Amino acid sequence: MRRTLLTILAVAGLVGGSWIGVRGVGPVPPLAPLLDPVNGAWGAARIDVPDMAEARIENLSAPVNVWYDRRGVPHIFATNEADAVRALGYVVARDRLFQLEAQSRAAAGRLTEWAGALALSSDQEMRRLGLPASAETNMAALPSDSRSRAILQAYADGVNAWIDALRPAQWPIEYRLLGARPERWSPVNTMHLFARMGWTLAFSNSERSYVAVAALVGDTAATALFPPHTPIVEPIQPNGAGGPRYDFGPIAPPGPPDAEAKRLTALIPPLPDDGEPRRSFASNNWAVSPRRTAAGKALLAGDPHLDMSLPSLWYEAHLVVPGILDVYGVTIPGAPGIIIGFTRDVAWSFTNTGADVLDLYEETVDDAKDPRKYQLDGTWKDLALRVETYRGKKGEVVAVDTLRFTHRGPMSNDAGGRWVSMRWTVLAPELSQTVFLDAARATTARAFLDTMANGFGVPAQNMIVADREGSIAIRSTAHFPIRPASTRGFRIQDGSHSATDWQGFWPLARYPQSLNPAQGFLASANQEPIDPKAHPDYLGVDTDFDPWRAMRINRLLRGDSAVTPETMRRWQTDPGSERADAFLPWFTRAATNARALGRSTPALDSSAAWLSAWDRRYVPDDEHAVLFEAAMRQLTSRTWDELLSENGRRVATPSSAMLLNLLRDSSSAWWDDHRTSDIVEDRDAVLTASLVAARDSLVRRYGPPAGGGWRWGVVGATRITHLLGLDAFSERGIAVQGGPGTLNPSSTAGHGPSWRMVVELGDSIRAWGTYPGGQSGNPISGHYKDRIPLWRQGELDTLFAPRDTISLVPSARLRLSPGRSGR
Amino acid sequence: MTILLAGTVTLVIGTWLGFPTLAAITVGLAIGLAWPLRAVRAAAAAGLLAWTVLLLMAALRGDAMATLAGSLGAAMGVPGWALFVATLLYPTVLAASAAWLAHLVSPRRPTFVNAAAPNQPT
Repeated sequence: MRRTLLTILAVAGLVGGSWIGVRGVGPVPPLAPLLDPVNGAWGAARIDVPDMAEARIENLSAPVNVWYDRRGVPHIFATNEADAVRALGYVVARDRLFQLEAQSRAAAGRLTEWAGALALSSDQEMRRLGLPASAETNMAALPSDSRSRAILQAYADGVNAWIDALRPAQWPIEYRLLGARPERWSPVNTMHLFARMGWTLAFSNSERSYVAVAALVGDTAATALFPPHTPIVEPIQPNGAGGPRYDFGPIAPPGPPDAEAKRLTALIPPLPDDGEPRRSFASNNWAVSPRRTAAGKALLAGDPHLDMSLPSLWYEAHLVVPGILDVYGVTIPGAPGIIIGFTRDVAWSFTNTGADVLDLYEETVDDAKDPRKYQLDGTWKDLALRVETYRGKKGEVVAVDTLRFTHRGPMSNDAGGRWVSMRWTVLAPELSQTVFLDAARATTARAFLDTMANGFGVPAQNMIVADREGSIAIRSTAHFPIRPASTRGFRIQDGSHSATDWQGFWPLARYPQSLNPAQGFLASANQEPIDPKAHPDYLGVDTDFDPWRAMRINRLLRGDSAVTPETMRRWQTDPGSERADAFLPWFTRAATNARALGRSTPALDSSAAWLSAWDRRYVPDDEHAVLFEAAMRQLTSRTWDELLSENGRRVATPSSAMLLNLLRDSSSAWWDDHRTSDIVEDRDAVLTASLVAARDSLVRRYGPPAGGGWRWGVVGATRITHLLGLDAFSERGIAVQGGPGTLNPSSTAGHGPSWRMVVELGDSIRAWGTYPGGQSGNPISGHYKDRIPLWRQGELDTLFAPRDTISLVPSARLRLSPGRSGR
Repeated sequence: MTILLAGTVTLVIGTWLGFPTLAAITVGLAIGLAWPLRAVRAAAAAGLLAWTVLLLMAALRGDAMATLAGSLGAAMGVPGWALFVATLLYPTVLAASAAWLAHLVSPRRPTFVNAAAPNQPT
């Protein structure tokens, strides 16, 4: 009996152990490659790069020296541009291989090959938007002898040299957890990466918002709530106003549902409305002329706000090709160049313009269920078909899609057989893959912007630049569609006529731009680029972006005529809030009015007193901001209750500038809470109810106000999540200074300043910067998240950009030589 | 002792060459066939010893084993020490299981049975 039992156990141990060891089971990855002490995940315990290493890269024309400084930044010294790019690909792969592949797979809609059906919806979203198809088409369209193709190939050479030389023990740990192995890098991956950036930054949603809102409250109200221009005007391009202008006016009350919009809601359903977090998803940049700086030198600051992740989106690097290129800054793993940074002559940074570069067209098709043709100007045109196959971990087919394309772009349909196509600049980007390398050769601000304008089509960016001669400039750069006069960018168009098609793109002279303005400074914080009174053209600025940060930075810049780099750094985490300044008095005034009318309650009085005691600064130790934020959420929710869909979710949220506009009308129909059918609320009733409800909810969740649970640094703490969402590799509960609407609008959702940089341009360049993460993608490396403490405190590292290796004391060296790579 | 050492060295080399599962099974089968009386104990010890040696070598080289175990364990929802245990158990279980099955068919297996020496390895 015992013998039989032991035999059964032995068979189970052998077969089961081998099976789990080699193939894994369920979510458990194959154990052998994971636990193997030599070639498995334990290899990742060998954390830091060796002090001296040598490697070979195919197609390298001459040796390249890479010297790492103590911050883990590679300084690449090459003899030509292509070799510098090869070396960049190599060092990025060396530090961030998993991230390289993960980002490119996500963009290409190939995550199912790692995660199976779990990733299907994410992959389908990418492919149905036509992003991978567009990347492949654009790659194929590059002439074989073009410089763009050569640079993409050079980058791939570098990445693949690292991959080919990898022993399994050196695979990033995430591959072990996924049961996957690194895939060689293809030049098209860079195209995928840029397409995904376009999706992140330029996927305008105005048609969907408009249709969803009009279907609930009618066309007039929808247009009033989501106007083409923001009601608070503090444009990027100086308008001489010396302060914000409030173009406030009456807001049309909610009306009956719009029948046409209701018809369209199934065809273009609204995307999930994430309300406040999206408004934190924003960037700043500003530049100051020498005459307004203490040292008489131009200053530039930039802090692009994006989804923060570990490893960080950015990777810091320095490329030197004597006489040709000397550029320092941050690149995105997969991009062959420095995206934001500085040279000896210029410094630059970007914010998102948010222009409307996407239009939808309702199409007439030959067969509602399986269309092959669509109608255009009375004739039937063939649809282009593309079959998308999603594969699983073992290559099995997980799903198959047939995509259909009109001349405008990909089509989608509703259950009723109606079809809509999409024209989107991101799908035909005309982006030069060498534009960042070319721009880094510019020696003046104007030359930098002109180079970018020649090669950069999407996503629209407010590009700010300063040069060492003292010039500052900003230009919103992208392909902005010229629409027929009869069409509006936020309405769905009739696709059966070519007359509704775009008629080209704005000429360069029409781009919003400014060079050396009289006011001596320039600033952008995602606000509308141009004053609509001066330039009424429809640019379709994303009204999601509120003007508060722009108001704040402009106020700070106007008030200081002797700006220093230290001031610029401090402003990047300035805790002051124009939004709180604008809204808080309305709450306290409503409480005062309630008291005067004998309608006050102890809860209201104490809430109002707590709010009044706030200095309106989002500092980690503050205990008042949390009440204001909760009250704002309540106010938003109670005010826009008419915009709730049948499932109880708000289909879209008007900007808080629009909410401020509404506060001027104490008896607007929007104040009435439809959930209380026997009462008609007015403004003050909603404000006081919001305040009390906010206090109650906070007490329930965090205890009484003075109990220590309301500290902003705890409640408003942000997080930085690992790419796979693994807690152990993430950083949570990061107390930061700043909140919604401040210049440092880090959010609990993990959006925030992904890179901060300050540059002073003069005879020599001085620069400071940091990002929330570290150079290494290895979670146990000392450089994985070593920069977070400094970043959290709003401090910056000094960025050291030596002209040559003589002036650098390296912490590690890497010598790259021509030759066949491999183990 | 010789068989134990031979099994350990073979498993270290097999793992080094990238065949950890195959090496563990092969060592277990070889010990089970060649030395059926002490097969399970010897194979298990060889498995345990081989991967312990490899882990120690990495630690002595300065690799951050404990840090990795903590992070990786947390990522997998288990304590860090469990990763060490799982690592050491893997070759041990495979080698011991293979040894047991091999000893059953070993030509060198004793054919008699008595009360003092039950017909399985001890």
